[in-house]
Amino acid sequence: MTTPKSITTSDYVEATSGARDDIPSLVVRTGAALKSQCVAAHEELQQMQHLLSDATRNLLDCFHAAARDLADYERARNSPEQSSSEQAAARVEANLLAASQHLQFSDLVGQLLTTTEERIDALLLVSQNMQSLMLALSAARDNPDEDNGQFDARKQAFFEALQILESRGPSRVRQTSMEAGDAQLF
Amino acid sequence: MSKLVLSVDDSAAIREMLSFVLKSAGYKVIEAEDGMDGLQKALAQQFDLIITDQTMPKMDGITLVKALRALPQYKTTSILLLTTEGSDEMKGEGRGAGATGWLVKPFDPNKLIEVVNKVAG
Repeated sequence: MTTPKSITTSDYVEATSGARDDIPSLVVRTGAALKSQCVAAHEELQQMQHLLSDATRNLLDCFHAAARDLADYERARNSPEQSSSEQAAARVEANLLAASQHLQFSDLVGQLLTTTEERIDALLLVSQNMQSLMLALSAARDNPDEDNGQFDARKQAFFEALQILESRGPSRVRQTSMEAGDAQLF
Repeated sequence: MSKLVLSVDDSAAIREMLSFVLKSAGYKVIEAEDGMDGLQKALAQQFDLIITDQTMPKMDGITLVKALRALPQYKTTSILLLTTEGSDEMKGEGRGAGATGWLVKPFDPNKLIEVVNKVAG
């Protein structure tokens, strides 16, 4: 909405009483979006904790098993029975393969971190634009005779930031453990 | 002669793990760090199998699959998507693009070898 130059700012503020009336609904909408996104960010952080904890436990198990099998291999190497050293070597390789599944946690956690970071950036943008909007509203009330095109610009910027925040959906990463995903051939 | 696999993923850790697992099963592996890099490498030499992530910068996995299927030399090559996403919708998109299969991360190395041996072995 543009303010014709012949109309004073107080007239404009009065005429756009809808703009002030919709401030309460704007606050409610913003509050809902902020709460929803903060809850989502919190859940993502918990998800990361579970993934890290699961991966660490499993990697430690692989590490200890590989260490035991390596010790067995060393003992078996000196024994006349070749098959026992081959079996020990095979077990070491199996443990390393198993570890490769749990080492993938860095990819999952990395993706979650990116999603949470983007969510927090959107929250900050809303917070900054809300501050600017409130300042512009306060200036419009304090100086009603001054040109207040700033209010419209700040309101537009705030709406855009709010839309970005509301558009942030759930993370693509749904895993909460390092259990292997399924495999499907078409 | 060892089969040649192209591994496409923006995660260095995933590329390393895939290489480790596939090499342990006797495959040769070339890595690419995003869809565009993957396409360029696929054009530079012929691969027996391509394994690609879905969400990557420059070009995503499904777009890469479509680009490869448009090439005569990759019309029948097995292409697997390996990704964190597992929704039926995404799998349907992958299938529609021409992918041979869909694996959800984290992959089980033994299962991966089984699948790879089946489609490219």
